[in-house]
Amino acid sequence: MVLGVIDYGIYIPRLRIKAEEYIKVWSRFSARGVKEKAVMDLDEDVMSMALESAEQAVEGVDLRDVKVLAFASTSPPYSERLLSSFLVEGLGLNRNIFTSEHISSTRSGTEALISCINNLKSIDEGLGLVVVSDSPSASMKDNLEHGLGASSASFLIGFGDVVAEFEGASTYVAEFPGERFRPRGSDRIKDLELRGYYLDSFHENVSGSVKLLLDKLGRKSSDYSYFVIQQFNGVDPLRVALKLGFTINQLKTGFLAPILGDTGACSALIGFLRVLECAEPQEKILIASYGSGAGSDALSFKLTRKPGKKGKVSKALNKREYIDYLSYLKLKDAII
Amino acid sequence: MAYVSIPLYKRTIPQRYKLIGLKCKRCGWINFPPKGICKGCKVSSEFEKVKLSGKGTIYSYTVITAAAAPPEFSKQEKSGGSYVVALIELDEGPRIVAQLVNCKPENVRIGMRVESTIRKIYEDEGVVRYGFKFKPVEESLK
Repeated sequence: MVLGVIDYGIYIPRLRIKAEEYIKVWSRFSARGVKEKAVMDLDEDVMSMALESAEQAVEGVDLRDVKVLAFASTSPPYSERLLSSFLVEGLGLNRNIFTSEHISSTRSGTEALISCINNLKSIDEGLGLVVVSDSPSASMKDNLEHGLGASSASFLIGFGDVVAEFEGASTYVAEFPGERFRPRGSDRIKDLELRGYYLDSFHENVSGSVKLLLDKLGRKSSDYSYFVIQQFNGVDPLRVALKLGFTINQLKTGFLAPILGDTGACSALIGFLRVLECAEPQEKILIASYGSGAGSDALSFKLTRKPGKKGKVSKALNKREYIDYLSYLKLKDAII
Repeated sequence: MAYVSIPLYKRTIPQRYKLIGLKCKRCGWINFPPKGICKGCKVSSEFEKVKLSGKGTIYSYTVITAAAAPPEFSKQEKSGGSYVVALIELDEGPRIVAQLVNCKPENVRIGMRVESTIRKIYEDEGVVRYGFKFKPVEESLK
């Protein structure tokens, strides 16, 4: 039976900060191509965003049918303890559910999606829920901090009358030490500012997973109407995608880093949600995530029908309230 | 909403995360938070669990400003300068006290339609306490 995305949910915190606010303070803004980004309020965190998007994804379904839950984030509030239990309780899911948690790199969002799909296939009935929520943080003094945004995306996976049919996935992993990392005990990501080296890693891993998937499915890049790539900033991922033979037309719909920033584990999946609302039946969608260290997952979907409840994504993207850099520092716990 | 021990907090999680109330089997009154004896008929102790819609109306409100915030909310007060605490009449009947978010104090009005949202209420002993706050339903801001 056809397996794929049945419904979805999105949560984007309403606060935004513009690149100009950084320029006023630092005389520069280091996240290339990012014009503004989403910022969590003081009382929001990865888990609260996750519950908000997950609630939308399961709206109207019999919660007893949800058999698998996969959660992903690079920046959950705890390094040790179960995180999925919060979602099981908050949503009212069956306590006999199998849960998995994917938390070590920005690739974790697609890891969760693939893991949920595979687990559901092995049960061969019911529904799976994928909840991805992220808000990476870094030192305020670090260039890496400038682009970091926040958001959450959830997917209800199931059999039968799907919105987007899952066609296959491939993964590529290659050791690249010294790229974006977060040492044990720290809540701030770091890097060594070796841009060329990171781009080499990004290119090798993303092209590795994408080429493998295209070969597996007997496709070429032009068979896809949409390509959604991991977006750690608003310029470099596009250049890598163009080098791989994709066009701006395939990329632009799912490319949200310019208005959301780097949303970590959510990055490619938020773009995928946007595409789900814009695509026409039969159009194919290719997704490629990336996580430092490094690895990439590529996933292929085909839109089978328009989503029932339209406009969730554009509504979330359009709800905005702008803040200045001083307010941002307060929210990031930097000065109070 | 002030400090509560973890075991007590754990017992009230169904209310805090998803607004589970008790409906009286005798008179139909919705009790939130749960009561031993129904607040409506003051007789029955037979209830069924119901999930409340999270929709309601502002019955009254107050603005907490500098120095008035309890210690667990002082960061919030320092960050925003002030915050709103409202008495909300839920569509199912109960009136509850909660913070109001996504709305400046000067824009709050009695009768405003609101809906629940999950937020971090405060953090104590390294444990994040989550719970409901309310935000204006979009139409009520126009």
